[in-house]
Amino acid sequence: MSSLLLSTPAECVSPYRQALLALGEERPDVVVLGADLGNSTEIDGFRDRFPERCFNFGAAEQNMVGAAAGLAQEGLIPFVHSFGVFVTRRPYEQVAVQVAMERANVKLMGTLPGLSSRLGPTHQAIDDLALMRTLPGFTVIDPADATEIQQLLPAVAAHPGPVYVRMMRREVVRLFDPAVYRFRIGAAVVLAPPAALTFLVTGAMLRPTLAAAELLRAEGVAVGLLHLPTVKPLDEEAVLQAAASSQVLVSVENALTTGGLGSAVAELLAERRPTPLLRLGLRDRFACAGSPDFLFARYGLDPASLATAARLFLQRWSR
Amino acid sequence: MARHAEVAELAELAVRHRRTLVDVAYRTGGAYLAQALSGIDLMTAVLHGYVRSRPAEPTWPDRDRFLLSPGHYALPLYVILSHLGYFPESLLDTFKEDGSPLELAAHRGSVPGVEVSGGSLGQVLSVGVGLALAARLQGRGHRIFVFLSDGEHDEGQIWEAAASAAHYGLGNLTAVIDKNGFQVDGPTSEVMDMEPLAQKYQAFRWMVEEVPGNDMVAVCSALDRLVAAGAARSSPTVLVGATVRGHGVSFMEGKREYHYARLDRQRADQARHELTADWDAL
Repeated sequence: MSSLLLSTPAECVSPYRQALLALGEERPDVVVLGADLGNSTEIDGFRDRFPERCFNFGAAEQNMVGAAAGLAQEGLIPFVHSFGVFVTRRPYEQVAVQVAMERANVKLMGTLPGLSSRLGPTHQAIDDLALMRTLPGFTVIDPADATEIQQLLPAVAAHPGPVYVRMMRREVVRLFDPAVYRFRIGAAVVLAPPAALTFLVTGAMLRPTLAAAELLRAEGVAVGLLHLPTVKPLDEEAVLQAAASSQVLVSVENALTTGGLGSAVAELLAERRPTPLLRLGLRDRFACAGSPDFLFARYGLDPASLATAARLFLQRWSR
Repeated sequence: MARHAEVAELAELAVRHRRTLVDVAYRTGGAYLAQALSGIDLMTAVLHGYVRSRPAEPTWPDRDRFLLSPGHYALPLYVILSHLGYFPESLLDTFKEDGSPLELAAHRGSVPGVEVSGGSLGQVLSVGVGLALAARLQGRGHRIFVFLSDGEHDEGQIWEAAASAAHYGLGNLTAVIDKNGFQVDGPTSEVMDMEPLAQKYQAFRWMVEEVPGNDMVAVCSALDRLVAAGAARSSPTVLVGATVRGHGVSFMEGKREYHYARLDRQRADQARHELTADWDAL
């Protein structure tokens, strides 16, 4: 596999807490907004070090988003925190009007994306990629590991305009070697050159997809892998190059298959280079509650299920 | 804060603006006129009397911010901004024409002086909270005025914002409410009764004054008290102006109609006549 990856994945504890604190040290214009989830969204380190730059709005996300737009108008860079559902689905109209329409320099940080919340469908941000991707001018980022989390924060702060980031917390896997990997907004990363079957993957699905690729290779299937930490803007050239060199593409995301990465790829391919595409993720349903591993297995997003689905899709198009 | 226009002068300006509102509504085929006429005294008092601004330098960092929450009050805002010199008054004739920057609802960036995109009700007090927090964090002394309507207080976000403004002790934030007692579907008392509005703000730990909102003397003396006390006590302040829909034009006063008014020649002439009489009486 790619030399960008560590030979053995490592565990990293709360990379976001550290990265946000470091960003606060570096940039006095960064302010942090929270909604009664300080520890849960890992803003407590920043809050304790910079209390004057940290505002708790209580469990009132619509007001928090509006206030963020006001702070941004005055040249500050608000990083707005809650669980993914509560910075997207709940205050959606406020985000659309006061942030997206105004191209406000507001950064929405949604903790526990997709099936990673144990609290069930009220807390599982499965439609957030779709909701945020459809807002004009929004940048949407779904990092895969601790290295990306650490590297994306300065990039997001320096990037003008609204950004939505899906944020993992607590024990986060480190897949990329920080010594050689470089995150760039909008850039896809080729982890295995395009092959008969090429995976297009974002966010927490990278790890199980890497494992699925190994399973398929062991069976003799030629597998490529393109990692897309930025869902919008999509790295179109990278996707088109992958399409040009692959028989089939398989997108994998920790989200609904409607509106997120798979949809973005499908839209591009339909207009530029029709290619068989299997979209893996949650298919038009709400999930139940449970541990992430249980849920990923239940909904076909564990390595074995991903490999099986991908293999069958390739076989269907190889006949 | 000292007023830079005297009360009598402000009352005169409000009548002048009423005439302009009627003229523009007639010439351009229609406008949200009833609430423009109820709120024009409050808006005139704040924008001509209290907001420190430099129309030639609309982004002057130390300007007071005036945020219009119900974007449907765009026309009175445009009338005042053009009178202050933010843009030529001749532009008013293009109001809501296709391609004109003077859209039916006021949006930030359309013309200088419009600070926020209102229109989707209940959102802008939150933006005011953010501006007030930013001013305090940056150590700047300007004030944030937010113009609200009574009808939009149905929106829960307003109360989220009210709680946070009190929690953070935003003495640099003043809300002004045009309480004309009407919303789109009819009287607020029938559609969704949010009274007692002033007491609700009091319960949210704001400093509140409620006065007849078409009485310039009452409005200005209340604003004087609120602005001084808010700064001294680190408390957000709100002026509840009890107003009359269509104020100054007899056939519109307190009527359900004219939410969006299209005036025929005869009605327009009658309105102008009454407002001229008001002018002469000053």
